[in-house]
Amino acid sequence: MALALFSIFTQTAWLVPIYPLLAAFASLAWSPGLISRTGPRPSGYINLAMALLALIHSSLALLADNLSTASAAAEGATAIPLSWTWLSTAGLSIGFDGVISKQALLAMVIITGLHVLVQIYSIGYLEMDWGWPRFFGSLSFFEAGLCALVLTDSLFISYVILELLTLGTYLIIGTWYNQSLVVKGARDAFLTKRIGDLILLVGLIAILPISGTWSFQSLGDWASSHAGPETLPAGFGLIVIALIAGPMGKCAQIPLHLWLDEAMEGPVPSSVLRNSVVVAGGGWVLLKLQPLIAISPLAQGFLIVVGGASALAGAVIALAQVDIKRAFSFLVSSWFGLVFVAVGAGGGTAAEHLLLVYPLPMALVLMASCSVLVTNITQDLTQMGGLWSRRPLMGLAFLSGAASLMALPPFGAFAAIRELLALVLTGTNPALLGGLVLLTNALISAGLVRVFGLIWGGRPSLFTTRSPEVIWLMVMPTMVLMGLVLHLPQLYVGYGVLALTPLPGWGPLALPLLASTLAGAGLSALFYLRPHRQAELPSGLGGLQQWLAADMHTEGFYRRTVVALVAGLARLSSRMDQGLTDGFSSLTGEVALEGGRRLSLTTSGRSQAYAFTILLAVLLMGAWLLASQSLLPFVPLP
Amino acid sequence: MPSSSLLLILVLPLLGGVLLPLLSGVQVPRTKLITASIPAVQLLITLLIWLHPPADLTLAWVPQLGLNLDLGVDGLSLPLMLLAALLTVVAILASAEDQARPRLFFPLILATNLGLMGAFLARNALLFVLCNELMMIPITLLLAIWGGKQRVGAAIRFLMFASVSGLCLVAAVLALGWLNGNGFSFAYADLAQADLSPRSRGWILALLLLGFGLKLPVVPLHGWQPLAYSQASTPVVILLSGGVCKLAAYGLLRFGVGFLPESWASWSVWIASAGAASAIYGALNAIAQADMRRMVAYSSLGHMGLLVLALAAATPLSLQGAVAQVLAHGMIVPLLFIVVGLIEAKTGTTTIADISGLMNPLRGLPLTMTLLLMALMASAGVPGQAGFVAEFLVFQGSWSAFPWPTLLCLVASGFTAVYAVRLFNRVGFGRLDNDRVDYPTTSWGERLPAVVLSLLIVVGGLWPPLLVGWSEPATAVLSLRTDPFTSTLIATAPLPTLATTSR
Repeated sequence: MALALFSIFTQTAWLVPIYPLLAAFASLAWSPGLISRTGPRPSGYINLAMALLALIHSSLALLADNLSTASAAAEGATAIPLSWTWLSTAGLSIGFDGVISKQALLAMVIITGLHVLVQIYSIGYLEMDWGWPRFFGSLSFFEAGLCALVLTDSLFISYVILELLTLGTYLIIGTWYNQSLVVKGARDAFLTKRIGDLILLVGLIAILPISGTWSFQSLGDWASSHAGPETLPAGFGLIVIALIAGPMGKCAQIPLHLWLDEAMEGPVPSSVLRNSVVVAGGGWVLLKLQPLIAISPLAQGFLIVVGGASALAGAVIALAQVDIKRAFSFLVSSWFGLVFVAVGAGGGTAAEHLLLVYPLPMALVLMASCSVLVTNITQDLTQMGGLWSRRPLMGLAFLSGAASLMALPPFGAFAAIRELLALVLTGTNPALLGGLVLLTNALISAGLVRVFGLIWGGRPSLFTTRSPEVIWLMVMPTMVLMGLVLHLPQLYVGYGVLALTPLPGWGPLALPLLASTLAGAGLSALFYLRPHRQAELPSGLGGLQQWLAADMHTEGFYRRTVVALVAGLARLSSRMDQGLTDGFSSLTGEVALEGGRRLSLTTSGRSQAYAFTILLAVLLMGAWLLASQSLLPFVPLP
Repeated sequence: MPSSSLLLILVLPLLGGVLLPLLSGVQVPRTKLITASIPAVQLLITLLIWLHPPADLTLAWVPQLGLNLDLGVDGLSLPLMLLAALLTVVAILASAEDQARPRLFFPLILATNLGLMGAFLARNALLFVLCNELMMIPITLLLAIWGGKQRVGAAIRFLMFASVSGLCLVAAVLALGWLNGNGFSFAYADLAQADLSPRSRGWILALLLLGFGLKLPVVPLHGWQPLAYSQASTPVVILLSGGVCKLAAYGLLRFGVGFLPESWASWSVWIASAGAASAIYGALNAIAQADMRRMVAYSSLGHMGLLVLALAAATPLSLQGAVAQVLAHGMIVPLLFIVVGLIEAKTGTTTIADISGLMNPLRGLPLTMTLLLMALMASAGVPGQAGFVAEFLVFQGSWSAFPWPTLLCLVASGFTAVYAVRLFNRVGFGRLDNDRVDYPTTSWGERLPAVVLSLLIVVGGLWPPLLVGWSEPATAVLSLRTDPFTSTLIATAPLPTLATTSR
């Protein structure tokens, strides 16, 4: 009985995205200034309340699902289908077809839980800000979009959500819109992600005539019936690559990685959520596409190249960043590079686990380091240091998050990275890909320890000697998150997500993996935990520091190529248009004027003559009509 | 509804136009309300007609010429009549509170409305052409008397292009009627089964394409459009961009696809290419503009390219997309012009580089900026708004017939985002210029037209039947190709099978 009552929460889990969506719309009342008497704060509280409601509902739904799974024999017996038609015309029917599954519920709990914590954090972070309605409204918009994304089973709806989130990114980065770097960051984020989205749109338009469906489930069935490459239509690999472009943009993979770094100009809480759950949304869509990718060797190779390049380059670039937030943004690209490699190597489970262990620790390291950033007024890593004696709690939180992002038992990421290593070692080219995973892990570890050393290690700097206390609204959610992150492996094992407990099941791959972590983290500690450490790479490496700090000059490359091409084409067509319209019009104008002049020679120029001509024509016409017409005008015809 | 309701739709603006000049001593706001009530009643009648369709009405006029007052509605004309009536209301409400020469201005607006409604109601090609020509006069006057500094030049240029277009259409329609082997008639029902030689079909289609292409407009026939759109006053440009140009789209669908299917199908590669060229060209030019009005003008040119692509593909889905694009774009472009007009009224300029930071909640124009962002995103095809539904249907419907032009149009859609973001980044974002921040706020009266259109655009995006629910049977009959996925989809989803007749 209690179970049946409980299962209502699971059956109505589709309500979860609705709560934050309502809150986002409610914020509109404050945003363009319709309500101004209350000040902006009520809008923030409404959003927080709705986020809390969404968390409670999704947690109860997950709990009920677990209880019913425990009582039912079969796993996944509780997957509840949803269907709602949006558009149906000319034989095409599109709807929000979704499934309330265990994974979706778990993902929703992570999303809504993080949103609750981050919204509390935001109240502290944006204490004096007047952009509350737009900011909190955008956060809720993201929450709604992500929850809907994990519920839907439709590629089309996933595209719609990704595209809407692109717009959301533009708005949320633009919160402080009067700063020029913010404006530029918002623009670049919108355009880069839109490129990915549009290529995804091409892919989904092209795949419908072939597969006849956009449902991920049916696409999977279709793919399994077309296992041989000879049964696939021509160009199929390209279509799958087009579909991958959407996740590529969202997950900031090379060459669409530029935006995430610039997006760091937005407020910290949005960066926390973006780096943890929003990018994971792209990964989620990629996972859903896995059956299609698995039958296209071209797409698999593409994923491994893109993912491998992003994993390595991201981790290396992160080592040279002097801005705290930017250092993390490149680590995000690097981590999702690993996810791409996992999907490319055919490991859906490994990729899923990489996605599941990632959001909470990433959010934690950002929240911990950015709390310090606020109180010390700088986000320049070279100006920080010695905070272990002043802000140890945040240091501990950072260390917990960092440990959970590198392959270090018993923390969260260890099991997932080990699965990935095992996967690539059984595939083609095990030496290269295995080396790539180990090296990336070492570099990510080094990057995380570097940030820790620069902020908390060494001696205090001018900015950190009088480091003030962090406001409790920021400390409290960080501490709660730290507790969750530390218990993450147990929670996942308890819920049956991770099959192995990390400690006993070390296996033969554990040693090289642990060695890579210790090597990366240890070397980094040697270099950055010293009292007189350097934030920058050794000068013996030549201009490498500069080159990496500037993201390998990617932005300049784009400015010289893509942007210059579009701007040049626009200028060219504008010049052409001037010639075309003005030239054409003046030519016809001259013809008309000349015609008029010639015509004027045939008349006397007296108005009586004109009037007479018109009258004569009207009379003649009337006479002809009367003479030939037997019917009166305006009578109904048979 | 009785058939006379069709006639009433035409009589109302005619009476209004004749009687309004007699109203002396009435204040402008009241004149506005009185005038707006006429298209509002039209809107109501049209909705009633949709609920209870009347029989066609045929009144004799000049039978020797084949010109009868054949009036009727179907799935193609009804949504466009709703749009035309709505836009007339919006245009009247969007006119200035101190509108100069109201007793001439408002009757001319009603005359334009009369021409539009007449053309949509016509079931006789000659009547259609007559209404189309009739509209040219008030529009030229509206352009020439009210508007920017170069308004006279804009009006003359418009008149020149419109005359050429009109001549082509008259010639095409006369040829359609006279060369018909089944006997001389201009009634749509007869023209749909016209017996024409392939050679004359080709010539007639060429004339129709030129005539409607000039009106729509399509590159390179768009010479009048940037100047006219940038010089016209807001109410005039609403009617021009949302009504008059959409009449050309309707004409292409009704006459080109409907009456000359064989020629249309054999020329469709070229038509689709012209559409793709328009889309790319319009979007690229919009990126290069320094003036907001001209940017919107070129953006409109680009969106008309998508429409032409959809008409060329002529699958059931692409034609649905074309109708949706007419309706969506018929609301989005007027909204953009209204918002730009509001910005101009408050800041005194439409030069993009001169304004910044208008998002400021206290000293800027926050609500206007919200509307601008919405309109720009709708025009860029971001989901959740009407523009996305239309563009997506166009792309999906045209893909199987013309993959390369569709791909080019998708690239153009990417360029749309570039100018949208460029404009908003400059105007909405950035620092407010302290030297010129004493902007008066907008009143609810000024906001109302924009708010109404915005709401409809969002409703259309969330609930697509608003855009595609009218015309499905009509476009299914007109379609020349089938969609490749229809068979597979119908096998999986229980949908009503449509008459996807391919002729």
